[in-house]
Amino acid sequence: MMAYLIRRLLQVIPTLFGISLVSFFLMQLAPGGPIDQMADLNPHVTPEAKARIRHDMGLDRPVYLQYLHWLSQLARLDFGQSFSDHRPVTKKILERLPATLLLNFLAIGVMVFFAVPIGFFSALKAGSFFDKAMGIFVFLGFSMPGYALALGLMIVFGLKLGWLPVSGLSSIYFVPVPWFVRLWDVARHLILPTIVLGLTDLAGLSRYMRNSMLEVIHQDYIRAAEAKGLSWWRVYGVHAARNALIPLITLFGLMLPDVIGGGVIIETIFAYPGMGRLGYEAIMTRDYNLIMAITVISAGLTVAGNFLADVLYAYADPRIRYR
Amino acid sequence: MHVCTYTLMLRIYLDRFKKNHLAVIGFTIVACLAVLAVLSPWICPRDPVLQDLTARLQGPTASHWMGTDDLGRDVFSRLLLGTRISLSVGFVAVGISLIVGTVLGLWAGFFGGKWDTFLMRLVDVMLSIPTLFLILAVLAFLGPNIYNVMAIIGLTSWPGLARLVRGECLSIREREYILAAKMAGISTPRLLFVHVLPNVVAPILVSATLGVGGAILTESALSFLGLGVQPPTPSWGNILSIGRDYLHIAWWLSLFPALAILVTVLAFNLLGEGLRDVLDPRT
Repeated sequence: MMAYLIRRLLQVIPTLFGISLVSFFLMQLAPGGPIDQMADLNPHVTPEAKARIRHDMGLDRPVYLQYLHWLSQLARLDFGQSFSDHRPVTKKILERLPATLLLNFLAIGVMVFFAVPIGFFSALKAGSFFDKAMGIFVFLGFSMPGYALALGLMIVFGLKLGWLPVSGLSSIYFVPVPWFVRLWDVARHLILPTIVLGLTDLAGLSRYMRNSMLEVIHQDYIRAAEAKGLSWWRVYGVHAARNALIPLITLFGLMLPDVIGGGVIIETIFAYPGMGRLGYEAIMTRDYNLIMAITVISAGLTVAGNFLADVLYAYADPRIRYR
Repeated sequence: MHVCTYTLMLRIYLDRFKKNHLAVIGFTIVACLAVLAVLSPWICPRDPVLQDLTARLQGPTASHWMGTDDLGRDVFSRLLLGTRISLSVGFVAVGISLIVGTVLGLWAGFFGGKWDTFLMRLVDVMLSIPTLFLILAVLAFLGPNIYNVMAIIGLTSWPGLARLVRGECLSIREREYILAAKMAGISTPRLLFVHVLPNVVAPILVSATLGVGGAILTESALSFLGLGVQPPTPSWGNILSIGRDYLHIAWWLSLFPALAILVTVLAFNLLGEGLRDVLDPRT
């Protein structure tokens, strides 16, 4: 097990390097660079001033030196200052990161909570009306643009019925309220964004679970378990499901970037104070430091999630530990 | 392979395809959309960019079948022109990802060794970075126009295809007919393109068809956020983004583009799944 973990960890390092390279390259794409962006707004900036600022920011050094400097800053998690309000980028991200992690975590929970039973029962009742209906649902899920569904839910639940709030993370209070009122309020705000984000890849996951389950229930050991006289739940709910869930762990790693990235649109639509919306605003204001930092952190989160998924997979399926 | 074998195979595939009703529906819808896309500038009932501020935000009527938007433009005509934009972005983006992904995947899968390791690391990196965010950032830097959108969607969707092609290559290169061809002294390029590639085409075709749907979804998301196709050029995404501002008073601005996207992507997905059932019947 340890050998496998160490091997896996070693594979992570070049991936992280690659991510830092891509993010750095992203900044180089900007025509004219950040100086021209800032200077365009002020016609009085002289070329000498621009050259001086460029030298101060180290932008006149050769590219590889700039990259090494960026890498050293990355190691210290120092992403520089945001261009829009000159606050340290790390601080801005840390303010928003917990909200995004909460939303993503809940969304993945929703996804698994619905996809696994749907796949489970679709496989067991393969060919039935339920299976066909779920199949249609899956296809629609693949084809629907998530943000359109978000708008639809906003109209129905927010405007017409008025049941759920459609923006932010909590309401504004004019009087002090007890903690459980606050908690319930936050929960109400989380419902719509979580459902919409949870629908990302829900269809795919349930399909995968169905196929995995179908493969498992035709195996000999399931037939043996039934022949032994074990209860339906023990055979299918415990033995079959456990084996069917293992391949899903790897899929979990593939879903992560979709969830983290999908958060960008969902958070923007719902005005949710998370890292995704921060990223969108950073892109709109061409705030390079913030953009690069969010790219690296999102990618880092995905890599960490994948690593975790691989560890879980090695734990769940002993066959791959000894490869 | 002999020409007769190819026509026989095609006939078998066509028979299998026709039996799958959903796939036939998908194909029909895609064909209709393609025709609409090509003919759209000539069959629009009204001018899609003509503003008529006296007729803003009107619901569906006899003269404006799907109503008007906030500048009085006919939504139906804009939707028709949007078909052209969406389909062309979908096809070009997938074309780019096909070329890049297939070449890299074949190379890595067939020659293996350090090429394979390098490609797999590159694919890992590209798949770790949240795609939409990356695309938004690049478009913000390079300027949002339809050609950049096509290129960037293509250049961010090749990793999945490359991984697929590489996997297929790894299993094919051990087969006897490849070893036999190598022993017969066939040169490597010919080996790759005449003997390996035709056997990899099936999953590539399925992935490409499904990829068109994905590319259309991505393009509409980009236009919705304002970094895709720019107005006044109509795209389903940017009609939706106007619809978002008038959600409470003009439902037609949101419903019709959303339906258009849904039906189009659904059609490509049905077609892709149908192709998968035809070309790879073991699942």
